[in-house]
Amino acid sequence: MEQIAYIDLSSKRVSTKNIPDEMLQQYLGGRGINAYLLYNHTKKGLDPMSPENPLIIGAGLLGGHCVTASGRIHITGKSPDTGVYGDSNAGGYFAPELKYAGFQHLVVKGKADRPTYLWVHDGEIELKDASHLWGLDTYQTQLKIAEELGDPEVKTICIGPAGENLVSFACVRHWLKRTAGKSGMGCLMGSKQLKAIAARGTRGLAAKRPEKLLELTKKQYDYARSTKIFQIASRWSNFYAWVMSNEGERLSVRNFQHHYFPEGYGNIDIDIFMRDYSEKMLACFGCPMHCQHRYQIKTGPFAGLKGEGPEWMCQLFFCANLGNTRYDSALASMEACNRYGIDCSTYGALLGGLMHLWQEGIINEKDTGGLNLEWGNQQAMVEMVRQIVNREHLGGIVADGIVEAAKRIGKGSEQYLRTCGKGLHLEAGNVKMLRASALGFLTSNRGNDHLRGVVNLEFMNLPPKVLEDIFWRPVDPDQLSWQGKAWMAIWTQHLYSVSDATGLCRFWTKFFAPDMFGFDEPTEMINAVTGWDISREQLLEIGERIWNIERLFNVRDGLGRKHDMPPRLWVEPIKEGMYKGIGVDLDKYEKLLDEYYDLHGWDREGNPTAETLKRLNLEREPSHIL
Amino acid sequence: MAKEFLRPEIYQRVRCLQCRQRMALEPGQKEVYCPSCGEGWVIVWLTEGIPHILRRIKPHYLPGKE
Repeated sequence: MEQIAYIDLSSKRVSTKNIPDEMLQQYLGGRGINAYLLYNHTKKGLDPMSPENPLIIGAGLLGGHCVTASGRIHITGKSPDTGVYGDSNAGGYFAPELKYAGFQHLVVKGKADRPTYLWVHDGEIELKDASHLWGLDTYQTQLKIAEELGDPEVKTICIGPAGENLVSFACVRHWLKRTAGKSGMGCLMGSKQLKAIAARGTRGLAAKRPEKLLELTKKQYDYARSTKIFQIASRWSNFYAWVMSNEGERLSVRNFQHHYFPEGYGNIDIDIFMRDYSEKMLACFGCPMHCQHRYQIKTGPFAGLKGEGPEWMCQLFFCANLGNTRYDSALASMEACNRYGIDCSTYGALLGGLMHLWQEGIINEKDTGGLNLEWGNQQAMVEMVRQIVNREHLGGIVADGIVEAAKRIGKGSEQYLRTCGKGLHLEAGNVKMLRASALGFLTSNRGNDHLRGVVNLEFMNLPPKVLEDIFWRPVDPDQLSWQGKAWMAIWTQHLYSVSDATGLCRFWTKFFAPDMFGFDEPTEMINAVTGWDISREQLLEIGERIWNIERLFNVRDGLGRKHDMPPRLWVEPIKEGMYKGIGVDLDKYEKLLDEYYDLHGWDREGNPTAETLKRLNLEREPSHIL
Repeated sequence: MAKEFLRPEIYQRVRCLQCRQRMALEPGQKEVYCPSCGEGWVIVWLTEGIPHILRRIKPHYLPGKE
């Protein structure tokens, strides 16, 4: 039986509860049960920094089992960064270890009276003093805890000085790179004086149909290995994809001033990274893809620095978005983010905005403590991380998030420090000409986000029959068309919900390539592990339920249609290149949004109707079963 | 470098996303039409030896169609 532990840091009490099978069948685990718990354990208008805001940790339903790439952990709470629904997901080994220790979910409430960490092991949870860990970076913290507990196999998630200093976009980190980045879950941990959660377990997990599970795992493993995308990613990681983004003119260059970055060729190519930096590849739990580089910088001002990563989105943010053509400075600034514990993606967006403000003469050396924020300035990329974490100079103004930074700087800076309607930063991709992706991004519950709503198959303009097989119904293959795009966005969003609720890595889904998993493969795996007999349509409905309860959280706080609308930048036509003149047409977008709401069974304001809630068994929420 | 680790059926080849037919490419080739089903594809080269399909060729793909 899967278990939840409730930990009250204020009273130092721990209690546990079994998760009924009925709840697993409705929400699976991971992101699904996390969403249920957040909706049920909060009230309207909750201050994200209050002790009542729960920090919810959830392993996926398949996590720890013999299922490829299913070891992801999901962290949920009301976001200190945006003030709306917040969650984030990370790979590594923590989720399986948590399950081997006897727990699928942890709900942490209250605030400790001094720095604390949780020690979760074989059915027990201890609150331990973390005063001696306060101030340590994320790497030192993990090493120190493993040493203190006398077991190198202890798996830890933790915050760095950024979370301790309540930087709103602080992240939660596991290992050297695995990060629950967006939404400021590290800030939420810091507000509770919770430095880390360490887990170690020796309990096994039993699948209901073990022979079938082994057969499926082998089949899927053999299939994946035969694909080209697997072979490329296992050697190079996903940031080979910058070439595709560049050739497709889907990049943000210098904070969205351009979308093509020719200076990158010959400087940030994969060959150069492999030759000068990469030392080996690493994998998460149960994953043969091993898509993570371990690298070392051997020469130049950052010589000697070692780390892991980067990923494609970070590469876009720290290279093209900042006008930077050097890997070493991009790696050094990512490494600084990793050690201090701030989200690379938010930092890259923020710094791009600040460099743009510098270009426009809105800020200068007086604001930055002498730091020169010209495009591509390597020292500035690293130093600004330190300024933010320590809240010095301009760092003190921007450490509370991009929306707050624009308010405090003023002078029209919101034109350059850009966010979507839900307050999350804009990603370093150009989706003005991608209808389903734009809709998927904007309707995401945590805000504008490729990990929740990008439809990567859209820009490939695949043949209609191929797309119909994938999306179960006819959709227009043309990325500029508005036909069928609402369904593409919905299908994809629900696939991602299911992937996060099972613990399955996004790279094994159609997020990554048309060859990878849709709903069929996870359905077979879930049935083999649980003994259920659900269909892929039922799995889609579970994804829909998760999406709707997340939506209910935002609706309860007054969010609606206007928060699903595009930022002004997206409405402005693209100024150059093959998509010149194209932007998001607001009239057509409104009609697409209507279609999206209709398909969901929501009213024109984006509120789920009573019939929809009944259909999804959500009409009695909050039901407080867990 | 790519030749060292990619399987021979993948090196300098792409697979038609409509009919799964493998197609050999000349170095630097930017478009390919499937000999089996006739579908056309735009190619990008991730590095020497590794072509990748960017998108399907479509005459009215660029601005003008909305």
